[in-house]
Amino acid sequence: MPDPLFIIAPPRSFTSVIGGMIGQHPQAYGLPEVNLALGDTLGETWTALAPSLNMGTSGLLRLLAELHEGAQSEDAAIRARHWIQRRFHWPTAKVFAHIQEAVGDKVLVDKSPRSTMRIDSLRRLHRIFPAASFLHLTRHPRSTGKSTLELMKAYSGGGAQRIEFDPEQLWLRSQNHILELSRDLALGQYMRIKGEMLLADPMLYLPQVCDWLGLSSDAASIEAMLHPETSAFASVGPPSAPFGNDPNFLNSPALDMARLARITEPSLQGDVDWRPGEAFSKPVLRLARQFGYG
Amino acid sequence: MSILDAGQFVPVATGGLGHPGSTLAHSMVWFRDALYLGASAPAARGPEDLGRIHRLDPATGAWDEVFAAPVQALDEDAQARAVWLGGGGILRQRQPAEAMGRAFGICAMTVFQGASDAAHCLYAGTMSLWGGQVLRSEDGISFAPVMAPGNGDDSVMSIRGLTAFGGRLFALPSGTITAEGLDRERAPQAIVLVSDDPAGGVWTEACLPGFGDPANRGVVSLCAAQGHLYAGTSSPARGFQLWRTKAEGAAPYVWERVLTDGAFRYTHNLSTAAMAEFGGDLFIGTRIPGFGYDADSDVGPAACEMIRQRPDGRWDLIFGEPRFTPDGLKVPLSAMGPGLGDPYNSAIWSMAVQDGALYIGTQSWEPNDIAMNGGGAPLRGGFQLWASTDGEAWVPVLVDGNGSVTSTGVRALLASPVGLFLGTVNHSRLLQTQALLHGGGADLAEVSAGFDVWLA
Repeated sequence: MPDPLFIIAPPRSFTSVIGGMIGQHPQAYGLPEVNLALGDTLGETWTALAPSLNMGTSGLLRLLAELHEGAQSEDAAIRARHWIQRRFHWPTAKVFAHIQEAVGDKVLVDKSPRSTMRIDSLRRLHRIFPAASFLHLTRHPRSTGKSTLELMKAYSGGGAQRIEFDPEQLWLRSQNHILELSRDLALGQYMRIKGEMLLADPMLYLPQVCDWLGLSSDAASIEAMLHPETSAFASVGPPSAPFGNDPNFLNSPALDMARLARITEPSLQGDVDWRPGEAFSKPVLRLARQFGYG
Repeated sequence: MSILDAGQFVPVATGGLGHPGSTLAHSMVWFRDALYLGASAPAARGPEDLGRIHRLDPATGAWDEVFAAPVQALDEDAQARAVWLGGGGILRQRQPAEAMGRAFGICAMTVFQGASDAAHCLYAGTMSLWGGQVLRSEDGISFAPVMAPGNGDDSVMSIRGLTAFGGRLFALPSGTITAEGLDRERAPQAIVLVSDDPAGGVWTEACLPGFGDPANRGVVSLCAAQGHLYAGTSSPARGFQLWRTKAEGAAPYVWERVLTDGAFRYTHNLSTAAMAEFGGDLFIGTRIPGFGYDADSDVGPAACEMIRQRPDGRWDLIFGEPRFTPDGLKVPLSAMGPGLGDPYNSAIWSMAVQDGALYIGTQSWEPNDIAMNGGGAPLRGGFQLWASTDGEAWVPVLVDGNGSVTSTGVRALLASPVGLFLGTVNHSRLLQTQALLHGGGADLAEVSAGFDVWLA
């Protein structure tokens, strides 16, 4: 079986749309956010996801429903939940093997931003798949932070406004974990790309990604990658598992090429939008410049 | 076409030729059938630590000191500047020297015939407390300045990168030194100077400051190749840029940007370093100042890369980080990562083409890391010399400072009729201090100070 591709990035870094694109390559299978890196066993993972409610669990439920029954109905999602609960003792590697067996000879494309919250999670992926490929997707800290706060506001009824939460620190922590992992990876096993760059010119960068992964970069494959909306996980799921990807992506998964071509990167200079009067911290500026943001 | 092996290298100079403060064999040139070596004492402490030019007669193996910077008294401002050479900080408490050399380094040399030169002359760039200058010699024995200190700005510490192209001589102001501080990397202005008659002392600006981009904080490398003059920049916020010109018409010339954003490695390719033409292509080594970490701009640590620029504008990554770029997927053709696979190689300091092979010399901070963080362990590492006959397959020629752990860099390489000369950086004093402060240093008690020169 081929080694998987893990797209690693902080939350709100275009992982849904770019993971959806790469996952539609004919030789790949794009997973929703399965978050399997959070534990050594399925039970550990499920427990770790409990506080996130269906935001964290939807992806795995939808995937198992799709793989087991070819459909993502509410009944299928409920049966997937029961399947999980009976297999809490399964090691994470066994769960991945079960998924791979169902998918067949395709490259699994995993994009679970929660994996970057802890270095242990990232190392677990590397331990299970020593030869996996890791694609580090970056997004400007300003737009990442704004997007994070907007999503929290939309899905917490404004509750996020009362919580002491700084998306800049979330961005920094995730990036540091990713870079820490990268130091353990072999030359060529880890690659980084600015999400803004890829989305602004997918015809330039998708063939490069294919070449890196050893996948076909013929016209038909690239065309398939330009249609993430054809993924089984590019729409709102059943009531008990509605998510599994960015909610905005689920509501509007098709690429708007004209809009993508207009993507620009904001400046690192000036006040942080959510902390008026303050600039980005030095560690954030340092990493952002290292990633190519000005 | 073959590559030298380690056994062919023999020492032709050791211990800074009797001057322990001469830690850098900084520049070399072949002139009048002899090797000329420019020596620098970048941490000059007193009147012994001078910029010097030594001449080696290859027939006899004898060295002559053909130039030593004149010693002059330090006024209050010069004393304040001098303290920074030792590191500033607590060292400011040390009794300042009363006199020092007019130059503490000879950081560039080339042979050039200007409009009023009767024959080819030897030109040398100096490092100075009072502003770097260009020296000129007709006979290789008598040297005289042909540039005002710092070309009119005495805070310009050095004149580097002397490069002949299209009947003109180009030079790079580098570093800034004032009573308030020292920046060894960047001059007050990021410019290239040019003169078609340096003996006349008139130099003009060959480009707009920073090539019109304020992100370029310095111009740090020059190389004539492919019918162009190439210039590499230092850009701590974006990564180096590479520019080129045919130098036609009057200065400032029309320049074309060839590479940007550190060849899309961004800040981890902060600056270019050595460059050389080989096989019709331009090879560009990169660098982060310091021990692979530039404290001034908070960049790194990261190891160096090498890039191959083709005449038609395409470029290849020879060793370094694989990456996606607007110019396509770049993977290292040598199959080696940054630093030739060694994270301590922070710069490609020197290049030379000898007998069909390209040689590159590194700067390694492994001994410094062990001195500061090794818990008193014996030091290891040192400079490396690598070579290739096709620019893609590379082999190590010398490693671990060729037996001298305090020789951390190959600062100069020169291809000559008598063989390949290699000049070192010897950081014995710095390493002794670093080791002593961290519980080590016993293994450094007997090491020699001052540069070495090897010939193969």
